[in-house]
Parts: sequence; C-alpha cells; structure tokens
Amino acid sequence: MNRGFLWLGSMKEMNWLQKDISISNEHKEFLKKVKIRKASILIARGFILVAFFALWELMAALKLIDSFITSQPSRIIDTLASLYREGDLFYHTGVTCFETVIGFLLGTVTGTVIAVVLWWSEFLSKVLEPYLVVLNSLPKIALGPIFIVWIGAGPSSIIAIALTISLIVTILEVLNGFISVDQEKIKLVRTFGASRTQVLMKVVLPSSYPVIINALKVNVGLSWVGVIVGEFLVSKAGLGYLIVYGGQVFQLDLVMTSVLILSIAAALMYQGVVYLEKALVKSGKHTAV
Amino acid sequence: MYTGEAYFCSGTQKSPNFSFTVYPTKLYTVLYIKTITQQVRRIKGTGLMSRAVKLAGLGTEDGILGAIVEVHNLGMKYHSLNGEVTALENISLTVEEGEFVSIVGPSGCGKSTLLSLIAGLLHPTEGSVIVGGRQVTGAAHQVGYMLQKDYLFEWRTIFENVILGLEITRTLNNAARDRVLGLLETYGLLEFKDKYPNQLSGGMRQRAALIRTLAVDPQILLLDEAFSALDYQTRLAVAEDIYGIIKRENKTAILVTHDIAESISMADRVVVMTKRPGTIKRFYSISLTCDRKTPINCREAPEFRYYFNKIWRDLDIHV
Ligand SMILES: Nc1ncnc2c1ncn2[C@@H]1O[C@H](COP(=O)(O)OP(=O)(O)OP(=O)(O)O)[C@@H](O)[C@H]1O
Ligand SMILES: [Mg+2]
Repeated sequence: MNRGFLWLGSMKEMNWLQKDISISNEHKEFLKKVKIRKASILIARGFILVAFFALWELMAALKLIDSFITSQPSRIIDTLASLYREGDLFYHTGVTCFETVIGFLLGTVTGTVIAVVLWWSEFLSKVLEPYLVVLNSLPKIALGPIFIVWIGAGPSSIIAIALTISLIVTILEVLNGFISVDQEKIKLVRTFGASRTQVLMKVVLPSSYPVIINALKVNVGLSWVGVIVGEFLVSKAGLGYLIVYGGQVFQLDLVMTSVLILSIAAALMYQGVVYLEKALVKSGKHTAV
Repeated sequence: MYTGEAYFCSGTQKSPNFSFTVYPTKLYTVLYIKTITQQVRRIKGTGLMSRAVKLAGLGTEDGILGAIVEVHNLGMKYHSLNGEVTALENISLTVEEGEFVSIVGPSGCGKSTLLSLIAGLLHPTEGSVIVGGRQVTGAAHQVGYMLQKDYLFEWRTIFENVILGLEITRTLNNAARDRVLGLLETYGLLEFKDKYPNQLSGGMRQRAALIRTLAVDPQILLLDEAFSALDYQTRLAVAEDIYGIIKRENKTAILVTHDIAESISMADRVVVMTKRPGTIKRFYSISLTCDRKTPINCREAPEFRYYFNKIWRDLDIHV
C-alpha cells in the first residue's frame, strides 16, 4: 500500500515486519501500529516534497512570485532536459562528483595515515599539537588562492582545496579515536608479545573503524564545500561553475537546476558512505567502542 | 621413580646469585614429586647452577625442583609528575608447577603490578622474576594473562578471537588450529565458533577468553580479578568452570582477587599483601577437607571459616 514511498533504510524493517507470522494477537496489534506509524512518516515526508514543488509551481504560474528571480519547477525540468540534450548534464555533474570523491578519499586516507604516524610517535604528536590546533581553526578556504597560484587553475587546485578542508579534522578525530582505544585491550595483545605494528593492526585500527567511517561521513560534506568553492574560484566545468555562471548571466533557472542536482548528488554520496559503513560493519560486528 | 641428578631449573644465564631459591617452597616438595617427570622434559637451567646447589649441600630433592615462577626481592616504583609511587617492595615468592596461588590485598597494593611484572609487561625497579628457569625480560608466551573483563574483540568471531594469540606469535598452523578447535569442542564452544562475542553469555565469553589464553599453550596462567566483572551467581559458576579447565589442562595459576572466599576456595596457597607499598604479609597453605576439590565444594569445608577469619584479620579492613 505504501509502496513507492520506501526510503532507504526503512525497507529492511518493513520486510522483517511482514515475515513474522506465528505470534499472539496483541503482538500483531503492536506490529500493525508500528507499521502504520512508519507508513505515515513516509507519507508525510513525501507530502512535504510534493507540496513544496506544487506550491512553487502554482505561485509562479499565478505570478505571485517572479519566476525570473525564483525560477519554477517546470522551467527547471526544461533546463534539465536541455542540459541533457547538449550532453552537459552528466559532464558537469561528473566533474564535480569526481573532484569530490577524490578530495574526500584523499583527505580521509592521508588524514588517517598521518594520524597513525602521530600515534606512533607521541613526541611528534606533542610537538605538532599547537600547529594542528591553529590549522584546524583556520578557514581552509582562505588557502584557495594560494593553491591556485601554486598548482594552477584547474581540477588539481579544486581537489587540493577539498582535501585540505577535510585533512586536519580527520587527523584530529582519528588520532583521538586511536588514543581512546581501551588500554586493557592493548595490554591483552601485549601479553601475547605483540609488537607495536601488531598493536596497531590487531587492536587500534579495527577498534577505530567506527571513528574512521564517521570521519568519512563528515568529510563527504566538507569536500562538497571545498569543491564548490574551488569551482567558484577557478573552474570551467562542474556544478559550481554552472552556479556561478548562471548567477552572472542572471539565469536563475540554471542556478536552481544546478543546486537541485547538487543536493541529489550529495545525498546519494552520503547514502553511499552509509551503505559502505553497513557493508563493512555487518550485523553488530561493531557495537560502540 | 625419579633418580636423575640435578633437576634444578631455576638458573639464569647471567646472574650467579643462587642464594634465593631456598625458602618456603621446601614445604611443598612432597606434593610435587609427581610432577618431576614432567619437569625433566623442560629443564632449561644451566648445569652449573645445579652443581653449585649440590655443593652448597642443598640437595636436589628440595621443593625448588618444581618451582616454575620465582620472584626475588622484587621492587617496583612508578614515576609521575606528582612524584614517585612505590607500588611493590621486597616481594619474594615461589610458585610450584601445577600450584594454584591466590593473592589478596587491599586496593592499590600492587597486585596487578606484580602480575604485569611476572608477565614481563613491566620492568622491575629492583629484583628479578624467573619463569621456567629464565629471567623475564619481556612478554613471553609461556605466561598467559586473563584480565578482569574478557576483552573479546567484537569485530572478530569467537574462533578469530581465540586464535588471536597464535596470530600474534605467528604460530598459527594447522596443528594449532586443530588444537584450538579441540579446546572449543571440549569446553562446549564449538557450535559458537562463528558467532560474535555479543551473541554469547557472560560465562561463555569468559570461557572463550580462557581458551584464547590456553591456545598459545602457556605454562602459567595469571588471572587478574578475572571473575569480578560478573554478577555473583555467574561468578561462582564461572570460577568453578575455569578452575576445572585449569586443573584439567594441568596449568599453574596465580589468581588476584578481592574476594577472600574466592581466594580460599580455589587456591592451594593464599598470599596476603600489605597496603602500599605492597609487601607480602603472610602465606597460607590451604588444606581443606572436602571430597572433590572444586571451589564450590571447598566452601563447605569445616576449615573454610578458619582461613576466612584469619585472612580477613590480616587484611585489616576499616570502614
Ligand atoms: N602507570 C602507573 N603510573 C603511576 N602509578 C601507578 C601506575 N599503575 C599503578 N600505579 C599505582 O601503583 C599502585 C599499585 O597499582 P596496582 O594497579 O598494581 O594495584 P592493585 O593492587 O592491582 O589495585 P586494585 O586492587 O585496585 O586493582 C597504585 O597505588 C597505583 O596508583
Ligand atoms: Mg588491580
């Protein structure tokens, strides 16, 4: 009955509810209530989305708002279609997504590697602590122009900006995760004569999985910011470029369309990380650490 | 039955200081004659040492024959910015092969420190620890350590948890794998081997932790309040269970506990420590009359209360 409204995540629970049969009436009643509640949440969510766009369209059609400034759903669809026809849709979306994925993967991996190094050498981590704190509070966007001068106006600078934005926070988060690993677990492997590498591989890294995944989630968001700002500054392609260009030539249809694509792409990428997390952290393997 | 010469296995390669091995262990000689044949197989001491002991007229039939852990004048200080803490002072203790020794003492008197020193996780400020005839210089896998909680890794299955020690010591081969499977089977965990720790009860988890320790085939087990994270009922059952396993596997054990009754019910000997700086206050050889020596049966023994009161008074606990 509520098919079509299934939002990611709710699907599994619904199936599970349907499977349970041989149970008492009271329990059936309870399950039914849960099911109805879930369905109403989904319906309400869908309703807000539909109502928002319907209202927008209606107000533009009735000239209550100026669709030259606010654009309008039907015009967004037209813009999408023409972008698609000219082959621009996937090109620009692809460029931005590529830069973002590379940015956040590099940020997470490099940050984790640096965190390992700092975990290894407490001396180094103490020495670098104030620098990390300062760098962490610095708005990394401010470094944009420097990268452009150094690396050149192109995707590399954009990726560099995205990477810098997530790097420091990853280092701090992951290092913190490493340090807060239960000392007794480390003691346990040390009783077997574990070397420092083994302590890292057998205890510290696996216990910090959730922290790293969390960093990944945060970094997706941060990398989008980095990439869009980067594209504002230099690029000749990408959604950020379309937004800036649309703004400059007063083509709000293009701006709105790009923002819409951007929000869908960002949501999908976030769900991708959530999915990755689920795949890695199967069936309660990782309870809270 | 036993006729060889020089089964003395307490030598260290470097230090020629032998005066230490001569104390209370004599009392236990008789009991451990039966383990001598086992001893013969693993002599690691220098022949020189045994000859020296003979010359000194100490004889080879001393209790020292079966000594597997020897702690000599051990002292341990911790340093921190707030100053220096003397955790242990002048601790001397010998544990015989196959013996079960309990250590009780006030909080913070250095019990865990003592176990860490025996396991080679810490280096003593003074004195030395000899395990199986060798001076302890770092973590060695002839010593198995059980901590207060089971610390099974939640990202590993029970089987993967149990082979952790084998992985770390790089001794995971087919024979070892079979042995571990055998242990899991004997102790009723085989069907859970692919489950994750959070799918097991507290008692089963503690048992899995013990098998993880036994997997590397240690000669000595150190149990640091190994049962205290469990509720009282489970605790009695788990203590009974673990005791049975330790005895069946013929392991030597040193148990640290706050529970006087637990210490008496499991041990052949109870060591009472003073408060910080920890020293040894008294040894009690426990001999209880009960049919089958298990912790729960032991609690029924008529002498139980006697030991309990003695140790309670020794601990001198004020509220
Ligand atoms: N790493 C350390 N640095 C400084 N002091 C320490 C350290 N570890 C232990 N101590 C101190 O040494 C003393 C002995 O500690 P230990 O943990 O061995 O005692 P314990 O007998 O096991 O105590 P409990 O019964 O509470 O487990 C304590 O007073 C403790 O504060
Ligand atoms: Mg302790």
